[in-house]
Amino acid sequence: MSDTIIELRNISKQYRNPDGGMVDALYPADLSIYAGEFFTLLGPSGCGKSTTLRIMAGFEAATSGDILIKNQSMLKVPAYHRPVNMVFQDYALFPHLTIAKNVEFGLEMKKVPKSEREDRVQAALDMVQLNGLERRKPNQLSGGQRQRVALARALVNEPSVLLLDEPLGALDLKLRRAMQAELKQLQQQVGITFVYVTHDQEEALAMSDRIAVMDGGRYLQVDTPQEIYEHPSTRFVADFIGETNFISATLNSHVADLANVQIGSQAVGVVYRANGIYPGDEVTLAIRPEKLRLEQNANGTELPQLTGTLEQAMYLGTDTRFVVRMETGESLVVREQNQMVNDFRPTIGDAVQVQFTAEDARILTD
Amino acid sequence: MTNNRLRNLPGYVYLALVLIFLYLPIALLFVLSFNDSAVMAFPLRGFTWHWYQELLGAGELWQATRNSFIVAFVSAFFATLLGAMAAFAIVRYRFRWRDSLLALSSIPLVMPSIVLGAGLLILFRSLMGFELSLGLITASHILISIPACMLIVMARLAGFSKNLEEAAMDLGATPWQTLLRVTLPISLPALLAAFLVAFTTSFDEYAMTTLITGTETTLPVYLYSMLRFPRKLPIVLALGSIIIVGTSVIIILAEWLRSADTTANKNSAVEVDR
Ligand SMILES: Nc1ncnc2c1ncn2[C@@H]1O[C@H](COP(=O)(O)OP(=O)(O)OP(=O)(O)O)[C@@H](O)[C@H]1O
Ligand SMILES: [Mg+2]
Repeated sequence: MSDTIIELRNISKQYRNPDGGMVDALYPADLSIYAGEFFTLLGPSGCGKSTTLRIMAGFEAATSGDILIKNQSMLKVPAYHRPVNMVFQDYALFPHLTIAKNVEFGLEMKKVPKSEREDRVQAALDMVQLNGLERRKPNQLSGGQRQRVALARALVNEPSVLLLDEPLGALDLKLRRAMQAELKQLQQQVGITFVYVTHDQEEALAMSDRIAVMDGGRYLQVDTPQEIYEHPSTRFVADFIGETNFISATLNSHVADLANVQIGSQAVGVVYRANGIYPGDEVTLAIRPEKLRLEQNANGTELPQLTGTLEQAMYLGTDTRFVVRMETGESLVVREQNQMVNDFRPTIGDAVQVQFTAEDARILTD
Repeated sequence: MTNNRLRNLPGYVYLALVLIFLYLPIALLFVLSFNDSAVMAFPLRGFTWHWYQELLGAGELWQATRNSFIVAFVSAFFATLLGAMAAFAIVRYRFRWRDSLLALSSIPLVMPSIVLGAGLLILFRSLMGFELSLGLITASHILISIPACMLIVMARLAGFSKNLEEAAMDLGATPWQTLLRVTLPISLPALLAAFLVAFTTSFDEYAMTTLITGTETTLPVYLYSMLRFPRKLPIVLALGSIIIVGTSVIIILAEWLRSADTTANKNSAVEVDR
């Protein structure tokens, strides 16, 4: 594993409300960010993403714990001496300065010689393809251009870590998608560690090397996009990232890695490698819609399968989205790719079998 | 087109009436200041520079004018400074008595200044035993101007995000550098506006000032005392005309600068959209 560049040790944060009460914005937790990675903090509004970022930047003091950047404690280091730079959601460009002066600001503060400053400003503006706009003021730029200025202004300082707080939040969808690709490419090009905040799960999956899924001031799961998508650790994570079917079940038996659960009148086997569940326990089965398959009959397969009635079919171009009502009353979403050679085309009201592979279902206990 | 104009006619008449009522008194002041008569009445008697010449020799009047400018300048400076500091505290920090302070500091805005003047007179003379002086007048003017200055600066600060200051620090600026390079330049228009408001408040103030005037006084108080000498009244008109011309020039200049600035911005914004 690569070197750790930012380490949060037992960090927590409580805000004091104006009425004197305390708000727990972050519960004590550890978090390590590795040098050169694209790390994303993902979670719904108010879960503590910005708070985490602001503690790293030095705008907010942690209530407990320590924060290390490049193995040095930052507790006593003010924001203006930390080797990190931030890109704000509203860009926070200085309205009274030109684009060139905005980008030069950090270098000027660090007393970089004038000639070197000019070269570096030019290079930074080149990098974000903004040359020619040096003399404009921020209010004379479009949203996307401002976004680039904010990036250039931070990157020109060659920080160890770049912190980005929903940097694409103010852009329209099309520009957003374009900038995602560009940002990712930029990050690989400069090789700087990015800590990126977003509440858009697609964005997080597409861009990140690792994601921390947050909720209510806790880091629920910290892992690669693939791991988080395919092996969500909690119901919240499974639900927040992509679409998931949740099926209530009761555990019949758990032998070696194979659990047998009861769903209505049917018993199905799924893989469960951890311990701590016992026969009779109420559990939840989580399975992605694209991991389910529709079949007409219970054809003597050994695959786990559930019986139900087709309730809805929605043609979506590359795939079709089916909703199946199971005997238990719960409904399942199934997504199947529209292949040319598809023998089975059920119609609404048909009795169908929903099949899956034992490895693709997850047992969640929360 | 013509139809439209006709339909708007009542509007134009209304506008004309408003302008006449606003500017007729000022125009009269001008006209009468050149009238060759000590009696301010029509018909006009003929053109004269006489009153302007007498104005040159009116020492006390100049003294009062000079006092007014000094008091207005000094009090506006300190009112802006203190008002801005209060505004920063209220906008930037959440502290215990924040709301109460905000409410409390607005009271001088609505309190009749004659009442305040009486209170100050008692405070200065009876309790503190000060001799009445221009210094005390200045201090009182600072007091009444602070709330307006504070509110003006607060409005501007509320509009500019705290992120700007954080961005500056993030880029390596110390708190001092942040103040000088970011906060002050951005709040400059508001500071100037606050200064102007405080300046005119002080320059205008009569009711309170007259109560705490000692041997030396400001222009409004002096002018009022001069009403006892009707023969000298046209000199006052001459002075008034000069002040009006002076302030008009300043206001027109400022407005011209401001609009030149905004049109520049608009033009290039259009360019970007294309
Ligand atoms: N200055 C503050 N004073 C009091 N409470 C605060 C303050 N800043 C944040 N909080 C609270 O702390 C919690 C976490 O806030 P934070 O800004 O980190 O959320 P976030 O994940 O960035 O949300 P969003 O996606 O909406 O930006 C929220 O409940 C918020 O109300
Ligand atoms: Mg946030």
